[in-house]
Amino acid sequence: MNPTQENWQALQKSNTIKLAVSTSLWLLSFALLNFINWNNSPGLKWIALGLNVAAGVYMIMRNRAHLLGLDELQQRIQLNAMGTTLGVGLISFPILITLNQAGVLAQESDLTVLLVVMSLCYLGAVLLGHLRYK
Amino acid sequence: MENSLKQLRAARKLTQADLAAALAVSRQTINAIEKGKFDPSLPLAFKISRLFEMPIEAIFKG
Repeated sequence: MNPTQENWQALQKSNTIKLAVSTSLWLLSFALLNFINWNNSPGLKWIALGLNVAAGVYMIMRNRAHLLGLDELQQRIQLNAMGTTLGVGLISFPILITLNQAGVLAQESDLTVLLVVMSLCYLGAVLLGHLRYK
Repeated sequence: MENSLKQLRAARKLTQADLAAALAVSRQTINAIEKGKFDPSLPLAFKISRLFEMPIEAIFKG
């Protein structure tokens, strides 16, 4: 194995670990934000909000670095998956709003449904992409 | 796009993993190129060309 490949593999591994850590940090900060009672401790809530935004920005940066570190086939799979997910999100959003306004969906349903739909779509599209180029 | 990557690799007794290592890409990418499922970019085609010391048009046939 030559040094170039060792560097490339090491970079991929490092980028994946950093992405996993940054995603976990963002998730934890989001949980913290929801855990704190806004009325009882507004100061803490603002701090938690700041932490959540900072963790979110860091996660975006790590995701970008991860994508740039992939090889061209892997980047194509990700691009296809992201394009599909964006399209599904764009189509689902007005449908969800319309169904909510028409009272078809339960009153409790909110935009988190859209996040779940987009996440599942992205996951499925990445898996299909890998199967396609297997 | 048709290519003779598999034959060239076999002639040099290289595995897909060896070739992937030499080109700094994943083994999946080498496999997809060999099967004609994925066309490499020009920079990657040049790297393949340099590695096998052959012109690009001798390896890839549009």
